[in-house]
Order: sequence, then C-alpha cells, then structure tokens
Amino acid sequence: MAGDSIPPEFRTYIETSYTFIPKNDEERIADNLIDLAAAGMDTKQPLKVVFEQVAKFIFRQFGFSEVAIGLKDRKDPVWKYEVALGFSKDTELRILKVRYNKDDMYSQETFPNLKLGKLSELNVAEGLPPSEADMYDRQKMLNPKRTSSADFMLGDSIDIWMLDDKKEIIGWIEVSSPKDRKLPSRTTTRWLELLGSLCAQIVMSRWAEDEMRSKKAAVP
Amino acid sequence: MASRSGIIIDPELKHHVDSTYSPLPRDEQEKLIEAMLTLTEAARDRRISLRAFLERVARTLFRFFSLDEIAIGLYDRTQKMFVYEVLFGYPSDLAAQYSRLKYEYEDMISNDRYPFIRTGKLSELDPVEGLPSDERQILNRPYAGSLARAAEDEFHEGDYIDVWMYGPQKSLLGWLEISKPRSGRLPSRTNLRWIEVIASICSFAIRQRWLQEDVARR
Repeated sequence: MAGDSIPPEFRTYIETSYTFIPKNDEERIADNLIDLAAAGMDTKQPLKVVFEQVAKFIFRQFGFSEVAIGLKDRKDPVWKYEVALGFSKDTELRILKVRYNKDDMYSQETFPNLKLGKLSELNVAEGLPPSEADMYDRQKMLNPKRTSSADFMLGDSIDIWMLDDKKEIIGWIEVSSPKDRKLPSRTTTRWLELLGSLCAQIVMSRWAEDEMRSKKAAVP
Repeated sequence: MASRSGIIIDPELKHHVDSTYSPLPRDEQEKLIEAMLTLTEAARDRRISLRAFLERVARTLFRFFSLDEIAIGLYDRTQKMFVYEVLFGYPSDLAAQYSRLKYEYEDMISNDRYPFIRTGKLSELDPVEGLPSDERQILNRPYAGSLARAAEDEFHEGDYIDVWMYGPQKSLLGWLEISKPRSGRLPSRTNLRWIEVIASICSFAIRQRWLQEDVARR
C-alpha cells in the first residue's frame, strides 16, 4: 500500500459511524432513492419491475394502501397504468385496462383537482366521474360528504406527475387510501414529488436507451 | 371552483389545501427536497449542458452541505481516462493542477493506491494518511497527514470523500469529490446519504447526455 496507513482506531470509528442501516425516516427515504436510481439505471431490470419497487416503497414509507403508476405510450397520446398495488384483483385488472387521452390527463374538467405542489394535485372524490367510481368499485362514494377538510375520503386520490424536458406528462404516480385517512403532510407530498421526478428521469433514460438500440438496429 | 357538470369543490377544502400546501419551502428539509427536485429537472433538460448541470450540482453542495471545495470528475470517453470537469472553491493554481490530472480505472477503484474507508453504498472517505506523496505535493501539503487527529470526527486537511456515479452494469461514469467542510467536521451520515442521492441524479444526467450525443452522431 502506498502512502501512510490509516490509523486502525480511525477506521473503526468511521465504520461504526457510517453503518449502512438507516437510522431514521430521512435516511430511509434517501436510501430508497439511491436503490431506485440504481434499479432504474440497470437496463436489465424492466421498467415495470422498477415501478413495482417504487409502489412498494410508497406503501411502506408513506402509508398509502393503494398505489398505481402509469406511463404514456411513446408514440401515441395514450396513457395507461403499468402497476397497481393494494387493490383487489378485479379492481387491479380493471385499472390496467383503462386508457386515458390528452384531455383526461390535462383537463381540470375531467378530474376536478386542487394543486398540492408543482407536480402534485388532489383529485377530489366529489368530482370523480361515474366511470372511475365504477372502476374502483366505489359507487357508494359518488355522493360523498366531507366531515373535515383534513380528511382523505374514499374516492380522493393524489396524482404526482412525471414530466419530460418539455413539461409533457410521460407518466404519473397515483396514491390513495392513506392508512390514517388524512391528507398527507406537505413534506410527504414534496418527497413524493421528488420520487416522481426521479421516476421521470428513469423513464426518459430508458426511452433514450430504446432509441439508441433502434438506431443501431436500423444500421445495415 | 366549478368544473365538469358544475361540480363544486368545497371552498373550505380548497382553503385548507391552499394554505397547507403553499409552494414555499418552510424549513431546511423542504428546502433541500426542493433543491433536489430542481436538480432532477435540470438533469433531464437537454438545453442545459453537462458542464452547466454539474456546476449547479457543485453550487447545491456548497450551499446545502457547507462544503468549501467540491470537485466533479467524469469518464472522458475520448481519452478513456477519468478527469476533473468542475472544480468549485479551489484556488485557481490548484484548480489548474487538478485539471491536468488523469486517472486510469484502476486508480479509481484501487484501495492500494488510495486507501479508503467505506462510508455508504456509493461513498468512501480517503483519509490524508493514505494519500500518495506525489498528490500531497500537488496539494502543496507535503506534511499533511503527519499530524495526529485531535478528534475522531475531525476533517483533516487533505481528507476527501468520493461519491461514485454509476451507469448500467456498474460502469463508472464519474464522481463527486468533497472536502473542506466549513465545520471542520466529517459530514453527518444523513447528509452523506443525500449527497449520494445527488450523485445518483448526476449519473442519469451524464448517461442521458451521452446517449443523446450517440443518437445525434448516428
């Protein structure tokens, strides 16, 4: 070994101070973001598998019992769910069959909502279209009454947008049914937005890889 | 707020949401999340060059983690060597010397040439005690490392932390090198985790720009 050696007591101090096991929520979130980024970079892992990891992380860390993740079709203006976690099997199958168009994704008319942050919004149960209530098996919530503004009602959902560099929606994370039945804290929505933004980066990277592969394949 | 079919969003709910979720960060943690979010957006913005993006990263590290010296290195695909791309907070003569350094892959990973201690999944501390004498000369600190550490968490002159940026199949794309914390102490484990997240964001920024270059070339 070139240079002087590292004093053993210093090495021990560092190794015990910087153990890999997260000691609080903040470290746990950071740790999961690092793992997700690594999974996103690993081109051998299908995007769907990465999204399943994202959904499980949200379920465990932020206490949402239902998490769905959707993507835009690369060529057509069609958006569909890729992953649905925490739903009954029937509901999951219905969710995965749904297709949305540009109006559905961008218009305030189809899904009345309130902005929670730059990348997130609350879709209120009061505005849930009957077709969606059907999909989620929530017919009984078509005429909901809110008892408190802080309540998260059955039929409410939060969308976190994945945007590309032109600010177009390339995907989204949808969370609902928080275990405490309350709207999440502002900090939690910010964490979710950061997660959504990292997912957008992963999607864009995968699409760039695909483009490169198809260009290579096109060369005679 | 009226919308589809005259649906009215309860004004009390709207007031609650507007006042609870105001966009201004209210504490240091929210400011940091906001800064990370801004970096992820810049990472995928094709109009921002890689160098400009990495300079933003250095400024974020300077501001949020109170580090006075930040170097960011990249794998140079033409030279097939690792070189420094951004040197933030270094005196200009030292920055000029660093800019001329080139490393082989073996230099980057070898525990023999640069003895290190792992501090996280992506990071390691390279204590000055293990710094090769030729590099101490560059630092103009030939005697650095000969002084005993007064406290275990003291960050010595010549210590630095490398945080690795990996691409597909663990290929090494670049690294963040941080030193001179204003507190004179090693960074907290939590802060180091966040710096590792920033390095992960950098990996995507690098990878995406390389892919864009490759696609444009074909």
